[in-house]
Amino acid sequence: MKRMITLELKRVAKTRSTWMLAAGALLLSVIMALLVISFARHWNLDENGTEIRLTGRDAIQANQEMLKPFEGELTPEKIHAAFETYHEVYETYGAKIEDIPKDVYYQKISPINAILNSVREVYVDSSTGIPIPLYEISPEEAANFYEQRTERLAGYLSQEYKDSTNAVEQSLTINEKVKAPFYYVYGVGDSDTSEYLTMCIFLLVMLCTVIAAPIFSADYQSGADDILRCTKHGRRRLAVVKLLSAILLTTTIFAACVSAFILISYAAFGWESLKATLQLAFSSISFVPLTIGEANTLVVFSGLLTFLATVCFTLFLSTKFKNPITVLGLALGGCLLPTILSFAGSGTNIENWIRLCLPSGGVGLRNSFFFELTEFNFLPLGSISIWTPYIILVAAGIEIVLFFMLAMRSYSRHEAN
Amino acid sequence: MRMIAGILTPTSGKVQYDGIEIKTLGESYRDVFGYLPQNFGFYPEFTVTDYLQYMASLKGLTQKDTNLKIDELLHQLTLADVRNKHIRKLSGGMQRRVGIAQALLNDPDILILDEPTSGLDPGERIRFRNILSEFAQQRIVLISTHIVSDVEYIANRNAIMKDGKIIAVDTTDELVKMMDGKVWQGTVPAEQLHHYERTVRVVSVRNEDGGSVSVRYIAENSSLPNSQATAPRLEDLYLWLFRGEEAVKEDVV
Repeated sequence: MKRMITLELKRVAKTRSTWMLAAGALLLSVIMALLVISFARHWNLDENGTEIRLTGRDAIQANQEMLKPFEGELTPEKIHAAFETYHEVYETYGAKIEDIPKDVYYQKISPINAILNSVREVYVDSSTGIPIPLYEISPEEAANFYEQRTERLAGYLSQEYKDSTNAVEQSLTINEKVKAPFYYVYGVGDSDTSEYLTMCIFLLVMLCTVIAAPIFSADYQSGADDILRCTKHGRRRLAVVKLLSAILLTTTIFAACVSAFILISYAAFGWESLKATLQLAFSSISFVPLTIGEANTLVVFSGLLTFLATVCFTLFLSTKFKNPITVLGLALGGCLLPTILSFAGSGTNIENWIRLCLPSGGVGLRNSFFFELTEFNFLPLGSISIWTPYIILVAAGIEIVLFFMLAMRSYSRHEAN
Repeated sequence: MRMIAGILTPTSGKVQYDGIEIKTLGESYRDVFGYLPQNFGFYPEFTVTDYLQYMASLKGLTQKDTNLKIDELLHQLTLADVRNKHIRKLSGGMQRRVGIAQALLNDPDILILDEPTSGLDPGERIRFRNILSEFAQQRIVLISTHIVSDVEYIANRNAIMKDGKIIAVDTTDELVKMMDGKVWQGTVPAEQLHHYERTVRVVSVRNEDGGSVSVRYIAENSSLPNSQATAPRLEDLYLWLFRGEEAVKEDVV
């Protein structure tokens, strides 16, 4: 079996299209990581009072320097101090940004922006849900941030899931594990790394679909399969060998590309920033008890499951059709279907179930595990509610096994035309 | 052929080996089986050796046996010089020989070759016939071919199929005897050839001196002037059995 896998890997790896797609995927991952770095911005004034606008690595370094004093635990004392600074500026220049002199803004407001945004999210009018203006929040009230956050989360969930106390209970139970005070380090959480990581995985799913599509169907088309299946190990064992080799090869490409993306972006934004609390990067009231690093690791893990489910689905299609183009069309259609549903669908529960349960339900342009992780979505199943990230993980896990078995069965039973 | 190879299920009837259905035998049947289909599909990215290594692993050969067998077959089939060349870069005849090599890798007890000599030059064909005759001792070799001379040299037992039914089974000599008294040789003026072609089945025509042609034909009785009965060949039987058909689709097996 080991020798057969080695030879099959050698065969697939020798195919020019595989090399080109693998090289393309790696290049794309590197470009996407560099894009994320290039999106970093830092505006300030130089010694002569001239505005300087930095981008890329220079901006990251400048931001790291500027936010150094705010690194570490976001204690109530730090929040209190930040609001004292805000009120000081507000009382002199008012609430409008354009009325604040640039030097004051860059020196006093820019460094505390992340804190102001977090506080703004948890202090809302309970009847309308509209954020209370920051100048109406006193430093003392702001220092009560963590208690107010739990209250705001409970209020938001009760409003969102009026008919499902189960969803509210689950969210609050998970929320109990969220560590307070939050931890802040400028870096990955302040960038688009997580969004682009999801995008990178989505593109890898598409590219590896192209690699997997002809694995069986091209042999049917060329007639090579007629000879293979007449050999001693040419049925079930060959099916397993082809499936495992395709999975191994595409997973290697996935690992290489995701590693390249992560290494480049993490190295640029700083490994220390992975310790930052997820809530400071996305939403203060998120109930997910993870750091930025843990969340991204989970995104990669979920992405791998989705990736494997899609590859296994494509391989299953490949055992069914003689024409690789037909397989490719159907497989790519399947990859895009969750995205299409998220754009054009009406958002009904059944539609969301389908979208999340499809093999590629965990990655897409507007639908992904990452989006589900940072939002508050539950779907009903009878009397209970299920948190959507769980649906993606479980569905992908089941589909990997299911489509692997179906592909093996389908290939073993295939008959020549 | 595909049904015997086990890659197509018969709609009726059974394919048995030693009295047991091949589907029941499964892996043990495929272990003693070698097959070269009419359209030899190969992996274009593979060299000859890569491909044979790959096939040997599927046939369950050990690495040591694989290397020995590949060397032996490459020499027998005069492929040793191109062992590291990509199969797609080889001529049609060479590709066919690679196909034959893969079928022989596991020393099969049953060998099925569909049009094995198509694309081979006369020298290669003779070499292949000799290899096959040597190989066929104590083994079952089924060949499908339109090249009747191959059958005359290789086969000791022939089955003729027409419309999916076997219409004759026997040795070449016995089958040819069926044509005794039906094969004739006559000479006619060249301009009358067209006329005679409509009344008899012409096997071959050869120009003679003086504007006449020598015609070998098949008929129940002498139909051309000055005809003489001549020794029949398997090719004559083929044409006799499939006479009157626009395009002969059936194979001599």
